[in-house]
Amino acid sequence: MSVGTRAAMLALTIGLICVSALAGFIASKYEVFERDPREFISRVVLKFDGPEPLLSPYRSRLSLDGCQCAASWRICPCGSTTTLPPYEQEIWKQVLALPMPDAPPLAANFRTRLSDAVGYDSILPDASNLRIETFATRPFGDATLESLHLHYERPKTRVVAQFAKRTERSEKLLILLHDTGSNGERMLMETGRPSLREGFDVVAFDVTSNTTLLGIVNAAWQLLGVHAAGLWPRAVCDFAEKHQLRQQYKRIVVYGEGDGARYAGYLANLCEAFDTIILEGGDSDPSADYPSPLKRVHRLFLGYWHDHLTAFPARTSIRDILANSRSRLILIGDAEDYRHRLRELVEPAYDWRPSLAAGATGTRLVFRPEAVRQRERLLGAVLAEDWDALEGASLHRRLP
Amino acid sequence: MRRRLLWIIVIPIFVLIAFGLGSGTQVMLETFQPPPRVDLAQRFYSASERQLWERFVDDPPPSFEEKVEPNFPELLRAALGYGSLGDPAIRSQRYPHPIDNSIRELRIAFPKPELTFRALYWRHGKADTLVVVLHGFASTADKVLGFDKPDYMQFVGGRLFNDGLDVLAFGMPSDPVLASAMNSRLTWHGTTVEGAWSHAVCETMGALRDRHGYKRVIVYGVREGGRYADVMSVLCRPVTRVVVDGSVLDRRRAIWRDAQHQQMKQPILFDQLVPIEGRTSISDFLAHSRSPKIYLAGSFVLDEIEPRLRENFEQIHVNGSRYAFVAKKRSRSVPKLPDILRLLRDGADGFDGFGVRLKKRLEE
Repeated sequence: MSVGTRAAMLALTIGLICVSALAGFIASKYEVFERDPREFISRVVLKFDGPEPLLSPYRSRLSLDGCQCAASWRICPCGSTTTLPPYEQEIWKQVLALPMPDAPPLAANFRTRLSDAVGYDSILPDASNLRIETFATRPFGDATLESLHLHYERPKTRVVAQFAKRTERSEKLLILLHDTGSNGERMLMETGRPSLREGFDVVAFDVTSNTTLLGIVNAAWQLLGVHAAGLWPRAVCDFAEKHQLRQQYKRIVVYGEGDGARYAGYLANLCEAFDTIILEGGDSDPSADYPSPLKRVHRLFLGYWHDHLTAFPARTSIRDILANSRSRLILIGDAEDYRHRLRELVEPAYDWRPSLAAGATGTRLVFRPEAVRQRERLLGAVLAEDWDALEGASLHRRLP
Repeated sequence: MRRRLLWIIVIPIFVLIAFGLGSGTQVMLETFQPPPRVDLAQRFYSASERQLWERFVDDPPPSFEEKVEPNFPELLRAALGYGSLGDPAIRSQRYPHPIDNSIRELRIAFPKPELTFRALYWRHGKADTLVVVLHGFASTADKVLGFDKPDYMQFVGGRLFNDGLDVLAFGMPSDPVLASAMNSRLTWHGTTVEGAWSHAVCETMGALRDRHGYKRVIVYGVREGGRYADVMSVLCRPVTRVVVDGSVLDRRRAIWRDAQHQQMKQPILFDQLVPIEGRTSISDFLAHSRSPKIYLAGSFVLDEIEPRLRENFEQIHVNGSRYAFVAKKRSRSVPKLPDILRLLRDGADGFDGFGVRLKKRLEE
């Protein structure tokens, strides 16, 4: 054997060993050994030679990562390892195709339905009929900030509220309910501070912030017949009663933003009247995203948004919240959405008047200009009842 | 010549060693990498929510009342929207198996809301016993009969067929997320996943029983399928026997515990039309069962459930008992075929476990 051949053989051997080491490295990285070898071989065969050779009469339609849902919806909730045309998708498509149930013009016994859906009456304050404990006090600009715990027995928890009281006695109170991903203190800083300057005392409640966590907690709380969507309005209502806020203040305004707006809407229906309840953003119509499978599957994965103790979101909508509200409502939202979708929804029961006339007694809809975040200005004008500075419409209930 | 032979032996050994070294290097690299850090604080936007969560996780589950609801079947029917789909039309077509012609694919179509369920029916022709097999999550009717990859169901349907029994393998919800999404949507139409599927299985089983005159009908539900079997034992026509294998028996505590351990991924799976989950328990499913029933579970599960039953049931010997709890060795999969066959055919007699009987005061 010549030297050249020997060198070539040696190089080939070394190359083979290197390739083999690389193969070992890759095999370990992609967990070849942790899978069923048959599955691995099938996958390789499938990659080069079409359908997986199984006993099945069907051809595999699986994507190679083993998750049919990833290909369809770009999410991967699949727990199944089936290689057949998945029946799951077939039945899911059928469920998706079900027509949305018609909401009647107004739901009967709405307040009772709402109360049952959020377990409002099953919530129990602690033995002393709601103990409110001040656990911290500190100065907050010209005001004093009290951090409060409201103790509940069922569910066993305590609700936190931040109460900013002006040094001078105030006759106006603003109650704040924040959106998801926020908290009472942040809301107090952003929204409460300007209102304090305008002469309001401000209470900001800590409500749901992380929907995934609260969805999980709710699953357990529901076994007790209660629900977070009931706890937050109930806490505001109990606090107002315990502190005799209606006697202390001449004007009480509740402002809920996003998810907080949902609780404010429930509060408007389930609690004694406040002067005004302002709802900004949020799911104004629980059925709005029904036809959107992607969004819905994602939301349902979080398991929170439409979750109530009963099948409450079916056959109800924002118009039930409006019609059964004990307090005067003001909705702040997208002008286009209000002019079309909301108008279409509420018109059978309401007269739509395209102005925010000062004398209006019904619900006011304040249009938020597009692409401009003007919460401070809008809320300031609403709180000051400066209707000329705002664009919007008002709704007047048709009789009966 | 000898040297070449040596190389032919040595080179594959080197290749093998290199392969091992390569995979070992990867394993070592992975070991050296620090585990992904999870910053708990990132999940909390609010200190009070963090407190709420931590308190929820630390507190023991509440003490649930162990009582039997006198009108449990009506409650269950209302909670699950059972029967609200109306009467189905059942169509049968040949299952395209390359060898066997006796497998039928059933389509059970309900008119309102329009939903079509699927089941596979494997029939001998002269058998007098029908076994209805209900699989749990991640399995399918095809897997149950052995036409797809094996899983924890271990082809039990196919094996039962080989043993001379007719088998109805129903396509149950397989993916928990889709099942949850479907559940939420179905509640809008006056039913639930549990209600719709239990009703579909009952109707199909009843139709097959009437058409082929089965003397014995046995329902065998595994894991989540066991829950449906449990529901059917209360709401369906009586059958010879219901076997619930590997299901959660103490559901309320299991839900609470799963929530505390963050293992609860799809809470809306438990949504009902009337919230009865918190005030009902396995005692209701036992006291109101219309069929003899066997619960199969790991011995630690039986140890946990046994004290909860004392309030309403007295314990009797497993032999001859209408309701029995049988301990199984392999808690994560179905028992061995001879055991399953014996259980389905002859009941729990001779198995390790205990029977229960409703206390006299409750019977009255």
